[in-house]
Amino acid sequence: MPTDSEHLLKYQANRVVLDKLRADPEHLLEWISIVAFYCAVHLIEALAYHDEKRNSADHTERSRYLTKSNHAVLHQNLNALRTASETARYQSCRMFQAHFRASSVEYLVTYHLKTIEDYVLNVWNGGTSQAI
Amino acid sequence: MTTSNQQEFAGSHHEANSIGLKIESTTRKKKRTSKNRTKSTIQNIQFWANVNAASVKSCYVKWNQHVTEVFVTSQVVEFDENLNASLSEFLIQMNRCDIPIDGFLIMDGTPEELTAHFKINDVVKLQPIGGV
Repeated sequence: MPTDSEHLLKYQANRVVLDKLRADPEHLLEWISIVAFYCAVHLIEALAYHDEKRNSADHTERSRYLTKSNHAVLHQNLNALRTASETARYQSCRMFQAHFRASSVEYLVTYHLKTIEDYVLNVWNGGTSQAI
Repeated sequence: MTTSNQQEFAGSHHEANSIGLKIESTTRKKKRTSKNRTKSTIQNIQFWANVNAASVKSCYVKWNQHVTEVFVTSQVVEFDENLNASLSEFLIQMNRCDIPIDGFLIMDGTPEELTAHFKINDVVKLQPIGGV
């Protein structure tokens, strides 16, 4: 079972890939969405391990953990990334492009993922969570 | 089957026991509880959809073993940030009331395209009724 620090290492590895993909965003919007989601997944898993020494078995379990935790404020950020990632992975390129423009994908990274990053790294550095 | 086993079997599966008291079997009780929970979950999803009638196109509800999953399509083509936030808030409230539920926005498409997320025969489709 990966620990919180191991999840953060996985997050960092995904983040390196994400930054490389963003250098050529026009052709890689789907992959940017997918990798951004998995960056978020590992950050949330780091939180879950940090709090309860647990890992989630799947996306549903992780989502439900988040809704019941003190970090529920992040649920909408994770869900935005999840929608884009699911569309990118399971729908056609035409369908993804119809629903997610380049600016929308950039917003996923610069707002939704960034919100999760700032929050988790703050908790990791001893800050407080924003319970709702 | 022994006599004691037969009595146990009767006690657990039939409505009346040997002294005439109506005993609801554990299995039936579980089924009833599960049926009530399902009905209540459907009503809550329908209510949420009605409140968000201006934004929600359809909700596709699927039952897994322990969790209800809801896939929501929106009225607009692009990813709807406000609807995503509202859905998250709804899921948080439901899970905190011990109603196990997960869900996210999906992009609307043809029935064939939607099968990327679920089998059409496995879901109940809800649509908002007016607005509340």
